[in-house]
Amino acid sequence: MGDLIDRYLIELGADLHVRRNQRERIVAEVAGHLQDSARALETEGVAVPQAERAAIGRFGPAAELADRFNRSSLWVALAGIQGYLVTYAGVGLVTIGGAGIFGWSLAKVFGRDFISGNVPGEVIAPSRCADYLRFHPEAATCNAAAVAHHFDEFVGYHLDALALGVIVLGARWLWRRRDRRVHGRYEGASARPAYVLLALASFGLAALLMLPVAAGTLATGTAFAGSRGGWWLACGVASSAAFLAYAVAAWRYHPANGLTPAD
Amino acid sequence: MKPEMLKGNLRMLLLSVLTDAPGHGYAMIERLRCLSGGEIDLPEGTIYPALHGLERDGLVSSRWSDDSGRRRRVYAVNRRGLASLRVQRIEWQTFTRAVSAVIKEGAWAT
Repeated sequence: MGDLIDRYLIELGADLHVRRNQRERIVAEVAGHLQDSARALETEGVAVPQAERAAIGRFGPAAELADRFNRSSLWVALAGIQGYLVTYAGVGLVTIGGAGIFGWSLAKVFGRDFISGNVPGEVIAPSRCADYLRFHPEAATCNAAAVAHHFDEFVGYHLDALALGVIVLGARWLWRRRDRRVHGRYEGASARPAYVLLALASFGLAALLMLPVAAGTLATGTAFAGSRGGWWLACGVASSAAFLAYAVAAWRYHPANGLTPAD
Repeated sequence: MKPEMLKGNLRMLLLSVLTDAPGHGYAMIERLRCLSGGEIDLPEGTIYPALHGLERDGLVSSRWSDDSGRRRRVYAVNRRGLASLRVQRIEWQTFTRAVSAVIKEGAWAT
């Protein structure tokens, strides 16, 4: 086999993202085809390098052929779905972090009690009181120390989620940038609508559940599942924001609107 | 002939070529070119995804052949492929009849 055909086959093998036995078969079939084509031209008097070049020209670019095979590859589709799930997890974590930031802002206006106030009627054991007062010696009462402690936990855990979400999304962006040909062009495109639907449904449902609970607990001054109205409001608003972001993206990149997502 | 006119019909063309005799990719391309009087001259690599798709759908089978010292994958149409081809031919004939009826030269011709 000549150099040109060898190089073509190496490029084709590198561009194919299918199971190994399928890749080997495709490369072997193409090798046979190109050899037959080149030899036919040589029998017509064409010199060997020109015959190989012509055979490759008539066959078509390796990248285009690989693209056609990759589109129907389950392996590529699974990688794409996996990618979307990682993105979804990252967005979820950032949304949780957003709830923490919004909750911190609400506490600045309405006080920490708004977010992490004690459940009405709750009795704090003396040992827990001692712990709270140790964490917050500035607090005047056990209740105030408990509120401060729970608020710090709320903000701390949510900001941890934000940091983790940023890391996940950053890693995802770097991975796609590094290998754009697999994770950009072929990223299981058929799974994209399902991913967007999952995101819309989950964030929408979360908002639908949390916002009424927030309204109810704020109106009655009570708590639900151990959390005050401000907590539910912060989480409900963050979920709503995520839902709206996905809704806008889905609308903008709907085929009818003639735009395509920048991969 | 514009390549986009062949879109959607390549599988039917390949099945038709295989009804004459089993063949490998290069031979099938040559047969397509010859039978069509040179009108069907697509990038040769395009037939391989189509052939793999036909095999995946159970319409053709394939095996390695080492005849004449070179390793080639030889495809053959099976009974399901023939039945599918019969249906596709009828659809194609219906389509071409309808289009011809619309575009025939007549009062609309300029």
